[in-house]
Amino acid sequence: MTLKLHYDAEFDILHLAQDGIEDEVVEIHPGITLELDCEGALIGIEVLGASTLLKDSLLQFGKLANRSPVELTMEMNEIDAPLRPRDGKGYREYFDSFAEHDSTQLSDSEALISVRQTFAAVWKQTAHITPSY
Amino acid sequence: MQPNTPIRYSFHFIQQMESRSFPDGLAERIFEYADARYFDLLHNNLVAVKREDYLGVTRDVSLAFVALEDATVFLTIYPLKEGQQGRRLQAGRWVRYDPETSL
Repeated sequence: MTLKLHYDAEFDILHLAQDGIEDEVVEIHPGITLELDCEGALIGIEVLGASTLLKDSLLQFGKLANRSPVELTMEMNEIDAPLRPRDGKGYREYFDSFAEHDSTQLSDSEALISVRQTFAAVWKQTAHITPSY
Repeated sequence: MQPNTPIRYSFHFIQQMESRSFPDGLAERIFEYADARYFDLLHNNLVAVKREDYLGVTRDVSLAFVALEDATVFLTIYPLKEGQQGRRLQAGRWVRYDPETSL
């Protein structure tokens, strides 16, 4: 299943998703939520305040701004390795035991670094897009 | 919040509705009949939470929105985990919001 990517420039929201019914979301860093389906598989990543959290990707944001979603010829399981639980657990099982980031403190946590690594693979696929401004 | 301002859907919200197949009218119902409303200090937006039947389970579903002068804009919608609402209140990230008094 292919991934779709869009960026809402007005409200600074980036969303990487494959189609699917969202059963649960897990906030792994303030502003970054992983969307899981009913089997606990990762089907989306939503980033609020994207230009701050993924600031090394500003050019790509401009290219994507308020366009129809860009379809990427990759699947989630090809790029989610940096985010995947390392102990063999599934996402849901892992994050159920994970202290949820319900704080207001922003930091360069491991989660944030993992998301940046994940999007680094995505940006390679968007390199061909012509800027929308 | 300005009373009776029209509802507008953000670009992200429209895309999310298409890819996620949330039930029709769910967001409007949460907004209109919320069990609780909060201000999210992290993202500076408002949140309405309502207990809903979603995917065959009764659970809290939250709607994040902003109240602009000329419109209320829906940003994103997602189901909450059990206890998540309380934890966000306890952590001070969400504070209760009364639309009548804007406090």
